[in-house]
Formats: sequence, C-alpha cells, structure tokens
Amino acid sequence: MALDLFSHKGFSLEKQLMSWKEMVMEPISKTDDDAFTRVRIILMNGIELESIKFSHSCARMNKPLQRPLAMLRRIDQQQATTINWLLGADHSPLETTIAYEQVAIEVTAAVAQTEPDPYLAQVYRYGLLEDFDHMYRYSALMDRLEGKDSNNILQSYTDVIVGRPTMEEHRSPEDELRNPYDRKKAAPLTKMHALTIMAAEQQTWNYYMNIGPLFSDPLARQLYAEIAHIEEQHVTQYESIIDPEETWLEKLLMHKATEVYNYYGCMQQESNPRIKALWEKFLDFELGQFSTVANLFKETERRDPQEILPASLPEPIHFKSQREFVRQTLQNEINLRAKGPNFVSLEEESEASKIYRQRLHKDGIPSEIVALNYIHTPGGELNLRKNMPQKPSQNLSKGARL
Amino acid sequence: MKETSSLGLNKTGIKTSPLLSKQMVTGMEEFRKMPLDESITANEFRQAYISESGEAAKVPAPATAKGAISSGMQMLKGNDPRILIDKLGERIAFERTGVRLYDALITKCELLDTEETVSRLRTFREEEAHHFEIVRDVMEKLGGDSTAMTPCANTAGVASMGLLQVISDPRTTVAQCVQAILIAELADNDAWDLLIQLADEAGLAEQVKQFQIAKDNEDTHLEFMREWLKELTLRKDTEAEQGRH
Repeated sequence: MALDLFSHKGFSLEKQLMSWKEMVMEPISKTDDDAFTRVRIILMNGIELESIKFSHSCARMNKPLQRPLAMLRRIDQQQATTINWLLGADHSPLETTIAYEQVAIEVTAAVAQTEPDPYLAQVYRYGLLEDFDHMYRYSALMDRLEGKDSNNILQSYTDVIVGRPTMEEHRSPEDELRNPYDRKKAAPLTKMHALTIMAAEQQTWNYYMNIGPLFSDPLARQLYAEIAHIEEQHVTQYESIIDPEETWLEKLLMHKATEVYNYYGCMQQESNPRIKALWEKFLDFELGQFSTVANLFKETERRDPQEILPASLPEPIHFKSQREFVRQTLQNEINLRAKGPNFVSLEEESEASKIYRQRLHKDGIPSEIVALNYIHTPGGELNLRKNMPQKPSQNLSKGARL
Repeated sequence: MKETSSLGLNKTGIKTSPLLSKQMVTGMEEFRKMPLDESITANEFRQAYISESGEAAKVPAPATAKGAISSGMQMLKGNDPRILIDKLGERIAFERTGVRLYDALITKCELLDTEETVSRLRTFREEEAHHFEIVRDVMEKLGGDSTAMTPCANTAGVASMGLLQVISDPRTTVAQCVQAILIAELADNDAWDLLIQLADEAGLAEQVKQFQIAKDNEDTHLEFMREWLKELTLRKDTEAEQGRH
C-alpha cells in the first residue's frame, strides 16, 4: 500500500529530539543479521547526511530559512547518528567498504529497473558497472591483505567479478556531466531516485576519504585513493542529472520527500523487528519534517507542494539481490564509455579522458595490482588450492597469492 | 551478556543460503577477464614502498634540559641506550593499557562471575598498575621521559587495538574476552623476559630484581588466564551445549 505524503502529519519537531541512550542503540549483528539490513542502514545514513549537507548550503544562501533549517538539521544529525551507530565495531573498515559497495550495486540496480526516464536508467546502469568492479577490487584486497572472504558480508546476494575495470573508469571532468531531468516534466520517482543515488555515492565518497588513511598497507592506501577519485566522479555524475533550475525550497522539499520515501521502503522490507521499529519511528519523524518544509514552501513560494509531489508515493525501492539484472547489464554494456553527456562505444571514447587516465596511471595502477588474476572463491582464494594437482606454487598465475 | 556464544542463525557462510550461493558460483567463468595491466605485482609494489620508506618514529633522546646526556644514561654499560629506552617505553605503554584491559574485563565479570574471580582480576589489575609505576620510575631515573611514546610503545599500542575492541564490546562473551587477555598476557610475559635480559646487559642489577618480581606476577596472570579459558571452553555445561538439547 502506497503512503500518502500529505495526510500523515507525523511527529512534531519538538518531540523528535532524542537522548544519547536513544541514539546509541545496540548495533546489528555483523554475522547474523541479513545483509540487506546493513544495506538499508548504510543507505539511510547517506540520505540523512545528504540532507544535512544540502541544508547547510541552503542556509548559507537563504537568510530567512536559517532558523527552521537549523532545527531540522539537529534532528537529521541525530537520525544519522542513530543509524550509523548501528554498525558494530566488529566491522573492519574494509568489511564496511564491502557493504558500501553492496549498497551501490543492489540499490542502483533496483533503481535502474524502475526509473521511468530511459536516459537516466542508462546513467544508473553505467554507474552500476563501475561500482560493481570496485567490489571485485576491494574483495581482492580483503582476501589478500586480511585473509577474509567478502562473501561473509555479502551473504551470496552479490557477485564478485570484474565489472568495467576501475582503471578505465577515470575520465576527464567534461565526460562526467550528464543531462539533467526537467523539473517540470520529470516524474517524482525520477527526482527521488536521483537524490537517493547521489546521497549514497556522496556518503561512499566521505567514507573512503575518511578511512583510506587508516590502512598501514600502501597498496590499500592507493586503492582507496583511486576509488575515492571515482566516487568524486560519481557524485559529479549524479548531481548533474538533477535539474539545477529547481528552487532552493523545491530541492529542500524533494530531499524531505525522498527521506520519507526511503524510510517507508525500509520499514516495509526490514526483517529485524528492532530495526523495523526504528524505521517506523523515523518515518513518523520524517513526515513531521516534510510537513514543516511543505509549510515553508507554501509560505515562501506561494505554491502548493502538490504541484511537484503526488499525494501517494511511488512503489519503494526493492531491497533484494539483483544478480540477473547486473549480469545482463555486464554482458550488454561493459564496453560503453561516457563522452560528454552521451554513452558511446569503447572506440569512441574521448581523447581527453584517455590523456587524463594516462596521467593518473603513470606510476602504476593500484586497482590492477591488487586484483591481479584474482578469482573470488567462497571461503577465500586459498580454497582454489584444493583443485590443484601439484604444489600451488608451480601453478600460479602472476599475482595470485595461493 | 553471556559467558560463551549460543547457537543460532549465522548468515556468513554459503550453506546458509544454498540457492543464492549456487547462483553466485554458476556461470561465473564467462565473466572472467584477463587483467589489463600485469606490469607490477603486489609484492613488487609493496617492496618498492618498503625500500623507500623512512622510520615511523624515533626514540626520544634521554638528555637533560641543557642537552647533555643524562647521568643515568652514563651509568649504563654498552654504548647504545636506544633499545633499552624504547623497550622501557613499550612496557610503560603496555602495562598502562593492560590496566585498562583488566578494568574492562572486571566491569563485565562483575555481572556474571563469582566474587572470588573478580577479586583475582582486581589483584591482577593492581599488579599491572604497579608494573607501570616500576618501569616509569626506572625510565625517569635513567633520565628518559616516561611520558613519551617510543616507537615500540607505538607499535604495541597498534597491536593491542583489537584486544581492547573485543573486551570493551558489551556483546562479547567472557570467554572471548579471556581469549583476548590471554593474547595480551602471552605477549607481556615474553616482553618482561626480554626486558630483564636487556637490563641485565646494561648492568642495572637493582632494576633486574624489580623486573623479576613483575615477571613472577605475570607468570601467575598467564597461568590463570590459560586455565580460565580452558575451563570456559572445555566444560560440559556450556550454554552452547545446552542449546543443542
């Protein structure tokens, strides 16, 4: 059943402030909770952080909005804390990285299939194959550096194979900018998809930039540097699909609607009752925040929010394994390249992107070095040894660590 | 909070979701690709960094405020006091962290264990604190700075990070925490042996006696933790055992 945005008033803002104890809940179980519980946690943390980031920019440009935005951000920040703190400290930074890439793959693949605008669906499929490759590179790092299997985190929902090779993802800035949707014509779902995926990528950017220096291994440090640079590209790509002609308040309203939309989807599909109750509570919070912003929108713009949002929200994003769709996309589109706002064949790639890439790769390519001849195997690469008739050392492909 | 882990649905292995796992390993071959760049292996990459790297930390020079070598240092046999200073710094750091590891374990055990066990842990905690004080005073007497973090103190701290994470997590069992303390005590025990030899070579006879008393305490800690872990792991009435019935 779809949620009606305008008939639920949710919690009033004053009732939304939480105590430290309410914010710092018992974390999920890394080993026993479903991987999609963790996926939802990472996604919603990203969505809250994007809401805060946008709100700060908005406040800097709109004096009359500063007071209400300051209050809304307090709640957002508490929500982000509550959600992000659900990840237990037994997740190593690399394990959390694997989970972040699972979010990027499974959520982007789900969005690509329900996106009504065919051009934007192509944008999502394009980004998807790049995040898919990051999973492969990080899995190789995790296996070969820490002796851990990324599937312990992925729980067999997500494949670990080569995507569009990370080394070929580096592009010149002009090849990262896409065409935006038209705010007057685009479906609300299109707008919420764009904000959702942009938020997820933005938080992945933040995360890699923060944890990259925590590694002592120089190869890990370079790999995080390389993939964080792609995340910068991805944030650029996804923010470029959002119509820059939207007003500040229109954007603010869309942020709040996107939060409601995603909390609703999380609540509907959550398997852990304790976390489901949290999503329900935050959905009520978000409806209260949406109502506040809808009033601000009416007062400031003298427009009805229903001009840009439907009363009834679209079908939520499906949180489930998108293996078949991802494999199909891999087969059909691995050789696509971006040139300006368009997607072209491998041969038509711009010279500017090729030159840009050469400059970055001149001293070696961490994403290639880390995964040289890596074959993901449940239980770790070492499990490949059991199929080898002789001593593994006599059968090694270059780079393999058996 | 529990002494040992229970049985339940752990979703990390492939047997938890046979259908998904079968799909995951089926048809992978067609997606495998040859590497695009084989010019550098991970070994070569890392060895280049190792060759080019400087030191992460240096031993603070034991000097007076005016820059002269301290009188304490001048008493030492041998020419190079760096290793002794570094290792004294390591023990200061490790014993101080050891106190905190015991603090965390005591907090947990006060809820579950007998007063006798908790009382032993408190004694061990005090002994660790006393060891910290002994080494601190030796460092100061030699003219070193007991508040400095020496290179080995730094790496000992990095190495202990995981131990503290295990013990301070409210969800870990007593057995898991004892395992972590055992790792600390094993390292601590060997480190005292080494420090005693170093002090002996430097001609610090009085300090060697003090260190030997600390080492005897550490032997007791180690033996206690070994036995406790065995008891928690091998006994027949564990919660894991009960879970099977």
